[in-house]
Amino acid sequence: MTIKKNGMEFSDDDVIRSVKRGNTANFEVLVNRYKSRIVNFVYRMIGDYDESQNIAQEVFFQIYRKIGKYKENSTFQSFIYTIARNITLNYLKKMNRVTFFSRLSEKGEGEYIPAGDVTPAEKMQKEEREKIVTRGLENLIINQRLALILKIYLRFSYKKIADVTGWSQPKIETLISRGKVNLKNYVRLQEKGGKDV
Amino acid sequence: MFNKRENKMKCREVNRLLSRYQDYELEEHLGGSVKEHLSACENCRMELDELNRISRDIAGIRDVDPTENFTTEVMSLVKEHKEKKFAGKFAYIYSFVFALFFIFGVLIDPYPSGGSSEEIGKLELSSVLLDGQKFTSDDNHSSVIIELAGGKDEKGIY
Repeated sequence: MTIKKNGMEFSDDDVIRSVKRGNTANFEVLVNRYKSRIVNFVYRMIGDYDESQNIAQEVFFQIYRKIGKYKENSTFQSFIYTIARNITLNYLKKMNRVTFFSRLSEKGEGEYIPAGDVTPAEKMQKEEREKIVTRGLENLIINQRLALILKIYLRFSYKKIADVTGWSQPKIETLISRGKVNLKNYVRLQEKGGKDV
Repeated sequence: MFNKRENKMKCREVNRLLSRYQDYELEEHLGGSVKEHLSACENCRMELDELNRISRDIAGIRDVDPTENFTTEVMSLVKEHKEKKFAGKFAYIYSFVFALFFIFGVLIDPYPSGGSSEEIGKLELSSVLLDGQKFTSDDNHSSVIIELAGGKDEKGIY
């Protein structure tokens, strides 16, 4: 990724090189560039708004500490999401959370602004669907959830997911495929008036 | 028209590949076969539609914003870390300098002329002895004996 400053473009590698040379203040550029995606990645994984902010800050701090290990020409995104994934999974293991997504839907309550003109009934329907989907994610095993978030939210290729997670290609295919099917079955069941499984 | 048995087998196979097909992660030749199957199989098309819908739902979960002071807080963590690291480096340098002083000041013989402290003391004492006085010390070096010319010993601690 590149940004323009005074007509010049600074890639991630440009900024990292500068930080490695001791210009710590330039790390701010990377924080501003990736904070939204990291916060939302963590938020989708743990479902807690406040904790996701703390964890995302810790992610950036660890990125700074480990920036010396980052090799140029490799993918910086893989580097940062590997750190984000490790810290998030450690947090989840520590908290041993079984249900956590209930708060995810609470956070956005009443703030939903769908694109285009929608009737109140449609709006309600969409909100309800989103709640069901987030609860469905909650019910997935952590690795399936992680795989779906990396693939669908971050739009990573399977190759990039392998870089971040260290999983083999077949494992990624299986996790994503089963995750989608499990989520689809859950949503279908809920829409037919079923109960949480 | 599909052969019923053959179609059933194919549907199972297509279902197995559908997620990868949806993610554009299927090899070209397999993707072509799945596409061909989908054009003729309504059930599998419906299955794909449902997967697409689920993917849209996940992608559509509303984003949250980082807190207003997010960047400031991260940068103060970074600054604090840098300062600690800097102080740590200085502590290392101080320790190193101290170690150098210790090595040169204590471990290395402070009397490089080869004389022991006793000999030096003896040299200094000899400069104040009168003619005929002789300097000796007892075994444990706790006292020195000044032997007078007349054979009378005077013992004292200096």
